[in-house]
Amino acid sequence: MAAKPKRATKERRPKRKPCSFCAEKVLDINYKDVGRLRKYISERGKILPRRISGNCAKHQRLLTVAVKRARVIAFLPFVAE
Amino acid sequence: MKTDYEVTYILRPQFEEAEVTERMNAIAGVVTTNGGDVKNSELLGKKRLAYEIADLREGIYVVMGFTAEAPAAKELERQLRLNEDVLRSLVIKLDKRALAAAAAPQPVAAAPAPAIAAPRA
Repeated sequence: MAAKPKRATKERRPKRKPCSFCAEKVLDINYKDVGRLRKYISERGKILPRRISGNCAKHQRLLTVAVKRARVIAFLPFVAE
Repeated sequence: MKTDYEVTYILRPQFEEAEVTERMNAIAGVVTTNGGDVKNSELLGKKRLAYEIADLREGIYVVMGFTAEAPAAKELERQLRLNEDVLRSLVIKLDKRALAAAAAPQPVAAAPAPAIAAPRA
């Protein structure tokens, strides 16, 4: 193995997922793009954390605003069973 | 200074096409009478609501982009709240990011639906 920074043996860091929005050079995340937003919410309707979605901080910020707007106009649920 | 806004509102689902157009014109009229300009208007059609609003499961969605002074946008919000035909509305300011995204041709962007003519163009 190549020289990687030494880490404590117990914890393992999973590979950082690439931000899917950066990959597409998305400028803005629109609240009307329901199909796309759905990928970033859980079955319960919660917004997935960056740890799971792999989004970069910038796009996660845009995403959360878009999801919240989509909820207001009933494109997405606030809670889903 | 005029700001770019976008409003999305949901009309009651039982309206016929003519009734929808009439209400869209009335709402666009609120913007124009307050010195704003309607840029585009798009009828998204009847969609299923993610949750019930006023015991209804679906609604007719309309999106309208406009530029106006801030008080005009406030007045529009007020009028939409008072309007019994409108189930829900959302007025947002289009920031430079949103405008840039709208200007840039997006590969996955929704196909532009036929724009409904705004009154007093």
